[in-house]
Amino acid sequence: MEGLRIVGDPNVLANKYYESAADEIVFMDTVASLYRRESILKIVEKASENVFIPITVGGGIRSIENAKQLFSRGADKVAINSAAVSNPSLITEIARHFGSQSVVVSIEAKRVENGWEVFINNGREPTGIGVGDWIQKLKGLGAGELILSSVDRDGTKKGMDIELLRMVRDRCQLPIVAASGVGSLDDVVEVFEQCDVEAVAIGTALHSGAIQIADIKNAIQVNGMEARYPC
Amino acid sequence: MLIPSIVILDYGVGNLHSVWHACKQFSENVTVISDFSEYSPATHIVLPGVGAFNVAISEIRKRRFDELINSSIKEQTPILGVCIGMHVLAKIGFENGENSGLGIFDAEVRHLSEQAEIDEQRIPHIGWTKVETTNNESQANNDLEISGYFYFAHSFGYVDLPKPYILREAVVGKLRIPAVVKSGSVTGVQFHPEKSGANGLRFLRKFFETGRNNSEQKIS
Repeated sequence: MEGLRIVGDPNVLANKYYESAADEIVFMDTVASLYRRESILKIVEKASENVFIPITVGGGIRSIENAKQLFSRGADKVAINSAAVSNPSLITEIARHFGSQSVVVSIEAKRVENGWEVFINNGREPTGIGVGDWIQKLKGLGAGELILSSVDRDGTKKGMDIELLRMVRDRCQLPIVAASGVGSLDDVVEVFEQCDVEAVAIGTALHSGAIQIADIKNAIQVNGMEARYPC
Repeated sequence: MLIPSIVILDYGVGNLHSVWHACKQFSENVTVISDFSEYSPATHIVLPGVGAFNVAISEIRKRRFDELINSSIKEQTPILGVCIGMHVLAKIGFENGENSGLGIFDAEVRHLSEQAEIDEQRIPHIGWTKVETTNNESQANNDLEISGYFYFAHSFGYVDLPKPYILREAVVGKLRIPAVVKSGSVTGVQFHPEKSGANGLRFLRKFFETGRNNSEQKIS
C-alpha cells in the first residue's frame, strides 16, 4: 500500500517497549478494512501473554462483536474512529457493556482553512465535520479517553500540532492521548508543558530508534514533571 | 518449595486472558472454573475484574461462587479480588442499582463522583497512579510488596471501610481511593496487577508466596 513501510514484527516491538518502561501499547491496524480481522486478533492474543501493561487496539472496529472479540483476546481498550463518526451510538453501546474505561475515541484531525477537519479511514477520507464540533458531540456518549492524531504530522517527526491539542483540551475534560509528529525528546517535553495532555503516543520516532523510552521519561522528569520511571 | 495451585473464577466478566497469563508466571497449575462444581482444592483463588457490580454479583451467586468463597475463607485460603472482583467482596454496591455483595468487607461501592467535589468528566479514573501507604502499622501492611505506580481503570470505589482494613490508597485530586484492602486471608486491590508491569507482577508473586495461615514460601 502507498505510504506504508514495514518497521518490524508488532509482537517483537510490543515486548521490547514493555521491557523498556512503556506505559501502554497501542496497536493500530491501519489496513483493517482491507485484510482479515484474524491477524490483529492473533497479535493481541500473543501480546497479552507477556506484555503486562494496558493494550489498546484500534482499526476496523465497527460493531460491539468486533470489540468483544478483541477484549476476549486480551485487549483492554478499543479505539474507534470511522465507526464512531458514522454510528456514534456504538461508543455508548460498548461503554455500557464493557465500561467507559474500555472505549477510546480516536480522532484524525487535518488542518483546513478555518481550523481542523475530522478524517476517517486512516486519514484518507474527509468527513466535513469540524474537530471542535465533533468534540462537542462526543460529550456524554460514554467514551473514556481520546487519542488525538494529526493527519498532517503523522509519521513526519516534525513535532506535534500544539494548537490542535490546545483547542481540544479547552473543549474537553476527557483524558487525551496526543499522537502524531514526535521526532525528538524536546517535542515530548513541549507537548506536556504546553498542552496539559495525559499521555503521548509515539510510533515512528521509537520504531526508527530516533529516541528511546528511558530518555523520554528522563527528559520529562528533568523538566520537573512526573513520569513512571524507573517503574 | 511451594508451587501454588491457582483457581481463577470466571463469572462472565473481565479480562480473564490477561489475569491467566499473569498467574502463569508463577505456576503451571492455573485453572479457570465457571461453576463451583468444577472446583478442586487450590492454594489460591483469584476473582478477576472488569465489568459491572450487578452483573458480576448475580453471576457469582448463579455459579455458587459465594459458597466457594465462604468455605475457602473458613479454610483461610488466600483470596484475591481485582477491581470488580474486589467490589463484590463489599457489603453493598450501587453500580446499576443497589445490590448486596458478599459482605466480607464492611464497605459500600459507590461512584467516585459521589465521594468528592470533582469534575465528573474526569471519571473514569484511568491510568498509572502511585499508591500511598496509609497510617496502618499492621504486620499485614508491612508484608505487602506494594509501592510505586499501579494501573487503575474504574469509576466506582470503596467507601466507609474502617481504616484498619485499608493498607494502601491512591490519591487522585481530592479523592483518596482505597487501593489495597485486607481482611484475614482475603485481599482486594482496586488496581490491575496484571496490567501494572513489574510492580504488578511483584505484588502477585508475593500474594502467591503467602500460603494458608500466612505461612510464606518462596516460588522458585
